[in-house]
Amino acid sequence: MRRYQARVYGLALSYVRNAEEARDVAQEIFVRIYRKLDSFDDQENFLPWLLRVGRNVCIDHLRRAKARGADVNTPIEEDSDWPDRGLSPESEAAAGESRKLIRAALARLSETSREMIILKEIQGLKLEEIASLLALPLGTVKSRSNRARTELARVVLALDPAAGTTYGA
Amino acid sequence: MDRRDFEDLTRSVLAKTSGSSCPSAHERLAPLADGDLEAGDAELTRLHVAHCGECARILDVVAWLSKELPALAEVEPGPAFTRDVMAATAGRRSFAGIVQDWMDRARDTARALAARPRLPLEGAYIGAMVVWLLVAAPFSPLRDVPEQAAGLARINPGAVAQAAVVPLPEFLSNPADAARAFWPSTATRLPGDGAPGEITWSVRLDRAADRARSLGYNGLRMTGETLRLNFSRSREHFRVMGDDAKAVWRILRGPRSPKEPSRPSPNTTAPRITIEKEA
Repeated sequence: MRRYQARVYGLALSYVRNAEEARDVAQEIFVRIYRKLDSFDDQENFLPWLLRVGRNVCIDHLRRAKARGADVNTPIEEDSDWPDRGLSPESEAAAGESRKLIRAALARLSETSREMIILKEIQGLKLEEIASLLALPLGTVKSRSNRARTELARVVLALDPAAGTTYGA
Repeated sequence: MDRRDFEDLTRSVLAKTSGSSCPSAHERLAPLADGDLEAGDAELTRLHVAHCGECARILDVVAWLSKELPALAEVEPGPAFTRDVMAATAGRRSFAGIVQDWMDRARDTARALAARPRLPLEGAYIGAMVVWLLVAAPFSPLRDVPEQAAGLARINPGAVAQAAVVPLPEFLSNPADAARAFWPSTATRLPGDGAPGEITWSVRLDRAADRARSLGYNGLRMTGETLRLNFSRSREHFRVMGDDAKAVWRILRGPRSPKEPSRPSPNTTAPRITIEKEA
């Protein structure tokens, strides 16, 4: 569990975009995984399976939140502990600014594009795995992924025209 | 001519000839950054980017994001997280946990079924099969119903609807008796019963039931006239029904008590009562 908790919490945070709710959702994901472990026997594909279960829990949570009338389009509150990447304080501050900018840009994307970025670029799933997860043709996933990346880049530039050059790129 | 002028000139020439090539280039920027484009497409896109500052900037940011985004995958949830999850999973074998398991599985199954593209077709097929089993199969219990209904409707279009209201007057024949059958002590439990000189609730119920019978009778006649499209007579029966309903209400309500004398206005001066403490 310790091995995957940062990954699961990162996934929940990407979808839910609220630190407190993301903790609850991540906990629910682990409980769900624990219950379903008996039915899982393909150890090599554990991460895609974990992300699939996690995504379902996140979507359920967002659906319930929408039904309650909660605002699900707010950017993430930055009170999370990020893994130590061995950076200097200046570089760490720059990385924090980058994360903030990217999170703000992600919050402005359409749900479809945001999900493509979360699954492909952030969580690193293969296009085939995403196609299977979303029950979409591979070509559709590929074009959506490319479009989402360009859309994100344009939103980032709209928020900060100097992005990519000043944040330690 | 500096670079910006050249870009503007290129853009305006393209806009007046083949249209802007930027939207098409945007589709190829991400695969270009990944090196996934075929040689010809890659060369064309590179040529476009070399002459379009906006697309070049987007390409830079796409490449930058490819390096930055994976860092968002892992976020430490805090020290209490592990303990909370362990506490939550410890109670798995409880009854509530097992019920939750079943509900989760049912929800997952329903979601998987609903995600199938053929679901509406399958639903329609199952619905058609159910209807066929009910009314069309050789062994179905309602096999004769559609034919009977069609025959009945052919003979008298209003008869089907009239048949549906026939049990109404039977039920209304004596509601007080029906109420007593359900609750034998109804009459004695009603408030006001037994007071000297007062019309008791049980008497009121009996009288109201008598009147309600005519209410039901007139309702049936009104329905029949309506079905025969004789609206003037049905309107008359409806009016009589209204009178019956008012009469039933008056009987149930009982005689009105005489009005109490009106209270004095608060502005009028009333004698003031004072309580003096005894010495």
